Amino acid sequence: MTAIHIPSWLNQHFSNVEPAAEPQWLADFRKHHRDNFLKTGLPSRRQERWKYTNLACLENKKFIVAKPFTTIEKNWYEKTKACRAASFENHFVVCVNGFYAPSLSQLEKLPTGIIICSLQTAIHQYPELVKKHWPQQQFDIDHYPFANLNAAFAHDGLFLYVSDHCKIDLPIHIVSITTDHYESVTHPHHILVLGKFSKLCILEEHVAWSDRASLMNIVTTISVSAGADLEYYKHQQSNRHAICFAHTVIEQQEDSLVNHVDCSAGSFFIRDDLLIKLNKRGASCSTSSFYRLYQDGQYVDHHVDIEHRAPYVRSDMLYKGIIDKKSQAVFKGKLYVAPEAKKTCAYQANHHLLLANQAEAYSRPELEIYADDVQCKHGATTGKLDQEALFYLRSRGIHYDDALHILLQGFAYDVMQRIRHEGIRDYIQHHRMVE
Amino acid sequence: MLTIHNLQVAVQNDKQQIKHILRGVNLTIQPGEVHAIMGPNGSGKSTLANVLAGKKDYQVIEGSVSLDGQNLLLLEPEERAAQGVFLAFQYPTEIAGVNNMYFLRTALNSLRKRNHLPLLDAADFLSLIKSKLKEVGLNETLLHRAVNEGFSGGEKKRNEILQMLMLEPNFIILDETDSGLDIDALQMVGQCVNSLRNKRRSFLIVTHYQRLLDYIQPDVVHVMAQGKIIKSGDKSLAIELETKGYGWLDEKSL
Repeated sequence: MTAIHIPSWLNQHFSNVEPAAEPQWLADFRKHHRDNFLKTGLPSRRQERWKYTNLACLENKKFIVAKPFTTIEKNWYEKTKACRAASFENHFVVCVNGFYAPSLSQLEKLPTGIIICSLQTAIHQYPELVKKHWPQQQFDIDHYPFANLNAAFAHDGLFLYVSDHCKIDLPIHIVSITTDHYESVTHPHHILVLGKFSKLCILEEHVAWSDRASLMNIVTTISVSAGADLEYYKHQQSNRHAICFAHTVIEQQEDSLVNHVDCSAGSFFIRDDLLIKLNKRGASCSTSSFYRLYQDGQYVDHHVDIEHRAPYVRSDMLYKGIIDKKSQAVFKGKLYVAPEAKKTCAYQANHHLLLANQAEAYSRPELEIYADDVQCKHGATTGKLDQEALFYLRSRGIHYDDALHILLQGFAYDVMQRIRHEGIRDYIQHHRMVE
Repeated sequence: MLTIHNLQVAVQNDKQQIKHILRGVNLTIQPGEVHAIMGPNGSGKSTLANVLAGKKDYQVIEGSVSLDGQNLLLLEPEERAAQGVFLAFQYPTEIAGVNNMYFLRTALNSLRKRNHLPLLDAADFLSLIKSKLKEVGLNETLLHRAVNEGFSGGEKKRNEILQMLMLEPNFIILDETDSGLDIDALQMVGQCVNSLRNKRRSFLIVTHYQRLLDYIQPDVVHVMAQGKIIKSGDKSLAIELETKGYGWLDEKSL
């Protein structure tokens, strides 16, 4: 038994917690995870899922829990407006330090049949709805210690509910801003619910306005009802001081569709855990990521688990990364196929392109199959830049820098093509995913 | 004018062993001339072609190459292209995720930019390339695919010729472009080369077979063996080689 390790700032947070006015079930949920975390502390590198993760970035910090903002600074209106995607029509949602900011959001064109509010508001106004879509299971402490931490502290986040048969045509652009004059920690919990045969497209972005180190520890739980269609795109802009832990759980029912694409460039530390449960017959998901690391010390770590729990479900995983300088990328993808999940189709691929000698990539594709009559494929490659291709382009008069850019764009191409909304695809590509 | 003087080139293999491939090549090609190089496998023909285009895998041990007075060996591949060098590859590379038309337009505009010519927008480019597509007999759908990816052998070679027509280079090297082509495609290559022939432009055509030279009348034919040009002559030399093979040359010259 090793000693429990909890950084001193975090210990302080635990001892400073004041009891909140909240329903008993929520208080119980919180207490359970709090006790769990206090029993185990931060994960160690001896644990399989945390083998490559260096948590030294959490030491010697003076993180303070971000408070809900009481006043909105004047320049925020202008600054948030500048964050809104201008190249395609959208509904605009702003969160500041993990708290929903209705006065900065622009939702005047929102149709009826959709609720967007803060989680706190939802707990009071729609208590039954929130309770129904709250995570039904506790977060496993060994797998998801940071989700446990989030559950212990989370006070707010976004509640987004789309009622049955409601189709939201315009994408919702969610911008999550970190701004503080001190080193801050936020533990937002976002809940997304898609009713039966509803349709929703989301672009979620993380932006930092501060040069201070920040720790964002997000949990997102998404429930996709029968026949619903979710496009969920995520984009992380570069910030050299941001540490981000994200845990996303997606539960899918009959014939539901989820298309998820995650893009990140230049982030300092990202640990992203994604768990998709294909619970009912015919559910289908596609999940992809493109990550680009180009500075010393950067770290991106994706752990993707897809559980196939019913017949005729389908999943397709494509993760690609370009790793430069002395940076590290980790991918662990697992396909679990339950005995009842007959006729499952599951694909998994992970490709890394290393541009420097000191760049590191770790890739672990896994299959765990208990059903007969399934189609599962997985593959992983790690390679260097194709010098033949580079020479080919240059021999046609294309300058070295442009040729390199073209090849890196080409590497990212198939992930980018999975962004079905053309406006969002162009928007992300224009944000220089490939330098 | 291209002048190659005593060019000696080596390549290092995986075991770090150095192997000499070119052992003193001398060659002068005047503007407007078409030269053909023939010779047995492994004689260094493709190496010569690649060294001229600027491929990095080779070590130039000795000698010089100049094109219109410029020392070609000091230039990067893209600078050589700007000087007018073009190599139609023996095995064109497949480049996943890079759109063929986007690649061609970037290449053409890079060269136009260097020559201070106005850049072509997508519409102008498309109308230009459509006429050239017909000449090389390529289907328009191949423009919208990734560069050479999944192209048949013949389509890849036609794509090389398409690039040659679009970029209108001054010094064109064809590295076994005729290998693996059927008669119709061979004729197309011949026609395209002939359509580009003028007083300023020169060609170096590497080939194994005399049949391409039925369509392209070379001014000079060289025979290369063991890293050297061992014999030069007019086009009748190619016909002689076709019937006699290379054996009779080896005995005399080595």
